[in-house]
Amino acid sequence: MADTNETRLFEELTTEVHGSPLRQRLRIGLVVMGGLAVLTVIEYVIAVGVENPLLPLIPFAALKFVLILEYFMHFSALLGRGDH
Amino acid sequence: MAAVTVEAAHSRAELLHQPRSNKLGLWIFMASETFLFSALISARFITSGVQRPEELNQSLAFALTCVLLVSSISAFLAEAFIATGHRRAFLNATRITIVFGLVFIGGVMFEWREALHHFPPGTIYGSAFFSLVGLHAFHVLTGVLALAVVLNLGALGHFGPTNSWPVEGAVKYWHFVDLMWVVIYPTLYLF
Repeated sequence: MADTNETRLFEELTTEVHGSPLRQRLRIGLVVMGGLAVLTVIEYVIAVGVENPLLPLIPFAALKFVLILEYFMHFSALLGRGDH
Repeated sequence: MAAVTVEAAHSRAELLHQPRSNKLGLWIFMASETFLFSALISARFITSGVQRPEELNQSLAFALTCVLLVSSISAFLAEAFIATGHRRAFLNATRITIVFGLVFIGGVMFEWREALHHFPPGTIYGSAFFSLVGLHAFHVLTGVLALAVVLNLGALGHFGPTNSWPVEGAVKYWHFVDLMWVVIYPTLYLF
């Protein structure tokens, strides 16, 4: 009985983070991966082609940072805003 | 009877709070590591400005970035698989992540051989370069070790949909390593 309750409790806790079905999570992961790949290529092209690339590169690096933090590390779940 | 009830309540409270405490602890740890990386990144800009040496191997750094990004998706998949009870897929995704991590470390070692020739650690840019890349490579190595431990335990039957925190923790750390590279890559190679 206690085991059942503990299992249910664990399920409640893990659903908080792993609530999405597998297929949906895989789709999100692949879309984010594609976005990161495109942004990385853009970064590389800018760095090779532009004389002083500091300012043009900052938004792309920041966007990659946010994508990883939010979709791979589930940062908003820490703040109690659900999960992806 | 009362003692059993109190014990059950205590156990329930522990179950309720422990995973959240673990997560918070990991995030605090990663925040402290971020300060460490930030200090070295600041030092790179203060000592070398926004100029980069022409001898930097841009294509190798780009390839290493791609390797780390691909390892990030395999780590993401490992976490998703164990959370949904797909153990075999979890083990394979973790193995792939470890292999990519080792490829990254191999690439860094190759790059260091070139970098030692062009800008040794004694030079201003060399000290920033070797400190940052070395610190990051060390984090990749510890991430690989953490994933290897998780892989070994997973192969022995540990973890599952109701107990996947250790996998989640190791994978989060791996994503953190990737996150730091997202900043280090333009800092050293692109600016």
